[in-house]
Amino acid sequence: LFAMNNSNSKFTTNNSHCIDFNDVKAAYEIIKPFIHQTPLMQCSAISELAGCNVFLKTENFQKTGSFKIRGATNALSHSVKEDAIQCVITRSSGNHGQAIAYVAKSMGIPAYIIMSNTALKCKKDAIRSYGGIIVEGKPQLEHRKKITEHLLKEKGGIFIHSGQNPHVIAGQGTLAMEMLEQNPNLDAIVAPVGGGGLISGVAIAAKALKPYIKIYAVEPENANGCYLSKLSGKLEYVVGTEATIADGVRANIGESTWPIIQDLIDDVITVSEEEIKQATVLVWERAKLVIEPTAGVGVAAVVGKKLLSAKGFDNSVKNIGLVLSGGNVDARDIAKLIANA
Amino acid sequence: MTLVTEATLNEAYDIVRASRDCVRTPLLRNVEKLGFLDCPDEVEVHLKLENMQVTGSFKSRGVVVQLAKAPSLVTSGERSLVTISAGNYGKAFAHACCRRGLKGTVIMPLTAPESREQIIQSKGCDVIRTESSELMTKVKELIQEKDMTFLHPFDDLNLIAGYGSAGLEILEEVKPDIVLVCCGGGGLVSGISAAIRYKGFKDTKIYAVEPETANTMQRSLAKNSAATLPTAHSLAAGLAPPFAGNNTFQHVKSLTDGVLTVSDNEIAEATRVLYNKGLVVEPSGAAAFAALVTGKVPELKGTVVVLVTGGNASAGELSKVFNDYKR
Repeated sequence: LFAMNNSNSKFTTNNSHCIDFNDVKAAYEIIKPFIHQTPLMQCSAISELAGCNVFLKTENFQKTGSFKIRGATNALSHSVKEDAIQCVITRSSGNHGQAIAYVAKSMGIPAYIIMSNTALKCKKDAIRSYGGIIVEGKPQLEHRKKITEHLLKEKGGIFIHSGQNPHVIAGQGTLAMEMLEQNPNLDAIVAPVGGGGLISGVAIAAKALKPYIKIYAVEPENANGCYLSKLSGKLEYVVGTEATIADGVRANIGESTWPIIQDLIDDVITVSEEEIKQATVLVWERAKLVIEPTAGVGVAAVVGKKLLSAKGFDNSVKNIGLVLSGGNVDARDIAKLIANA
Repeated sequence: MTLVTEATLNEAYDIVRASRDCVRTPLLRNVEKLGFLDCPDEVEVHLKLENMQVTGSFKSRGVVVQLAKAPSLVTSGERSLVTISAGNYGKAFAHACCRRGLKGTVIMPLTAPESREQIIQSKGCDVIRTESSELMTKVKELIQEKDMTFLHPFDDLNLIAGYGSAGLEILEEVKPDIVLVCCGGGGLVSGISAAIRYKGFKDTKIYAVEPETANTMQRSLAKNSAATLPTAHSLAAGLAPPFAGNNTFQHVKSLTDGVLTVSDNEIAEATRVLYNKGLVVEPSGAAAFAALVTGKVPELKGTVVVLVTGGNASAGELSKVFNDYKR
């Protein structure tokens, strides 16, 4: 699993990546029977605003309402193959937790989801409905890390990180395989970045299949660790990410995802809270798709034309694959967004 | 009594395809595999997503054909236009008028939400509110006093032909065994059934779906003429005009396999299911899906196509529906 320099990339890399394209292909074989192949859709309003053809990868239609099921299924499948496990433990703002709870239940394994007490009610409810056991902690990561240690000691079992686990990253990469199969003419793929699991997996797979494809990560200005890391050339962590409404990307990128991001992501674009909210509402009103604000992060960069000034973006980029990462949001929260606009 | 002709249908399709005010909407395939519903193994369910149409409902297809065929006094702007609508037709009408620089007036029932009125006014059309029972009276007044030209929101053959384009698009992708269509005035089901029959699909079962409490078309079939129901009401406001059209009744009688009805509770639940699966659908747009998931379809088998007719509901409106109709 731990592969040396990814020779499929057009970049020369000094980094070793924790996965390569073979891991993504293997992941797809494992998870294919258990996930939905979500459609690639177009919305004329979004394409018009973007100034090019935008193809929406509708992971809001995915099982458990977000792409996270891909990585969770791959990771848990690998774990149970290696050993009988007593339980699975994870930390999550919601979507990864839902996915883990769902997959664990299907395997008859108890799942403990450690969540900040600020996590959204609709996500907590969903986790409980899948049989997940929620353990609440403070927003401060250190506190929830301590809870993780305690739980692991007490219960045994395994810990599956939402973004840095290589099997999770490989699972997320399957999304790019589908996108390029559905439209081989994509010139770029755009996705939100939190811990980096999605964008890393996507980059590994997409660049292997199409070396000159552009991969763009989008982050909230209020949680811009990935942006700062690319800028400085070293892994940066930011605090205070609670400030962003995009609850799914409050995590920082980490040791597994940073080397891949540094090598294979063409640029990181940041968007304001206002842009995120407007983009989320735009998708509701014009595309008639339910997406959560975290998914609005990627949309904001595309419709706000911020991509136009991104590195490597030129006239040759005509078809953009935009990942709508999830749709787990209470209608009341969207209504509040609009009311407070 | 006239049914829309095949020639009119084909001509309307050309107009719709060429129009900047219409798009080819997605046919979301195999939603039973996406977890939208449970059904027997051999059944495939596809959703025609007219909520993704320009202006958020299928109405644009009909309006562009009505305007393309309107007399020159109208297209030159000499005569202004008038229509009646609870919302979606009015929105499509206002959008199309605005794009063509034409003046229009929409007469709305008192029951229609204020948000609908604001949208129409924002596109430069006037809105007049009256009781449901007074809508046509007001229209006649404006025709006489102000020389306006009336565009019927559902009983117009050009409109029906335009709506038929949705049916032609479906047939280009699948061969349906069953088609379910939300039914208010009956314009959409008239156009879709015409398209399906003229293309030779005589065995396809086509059902109009109405709210129980606004079942004007069902009553029309029972008494063999277009029925009036002044008390028609429903959560699905767009499916509750107080009368069926004469032309639409004839189409439904000749070309469909009848009417299925659903309760407001069932409509609300269907709306919630579609929302949870990731689609913004207004209650009126979810009625046909409601009929499918509540087992109203006799002999469910083969390829089923469900029309999802509109998505013009704000997040506030949807959360109110989910709150008012708890599971």
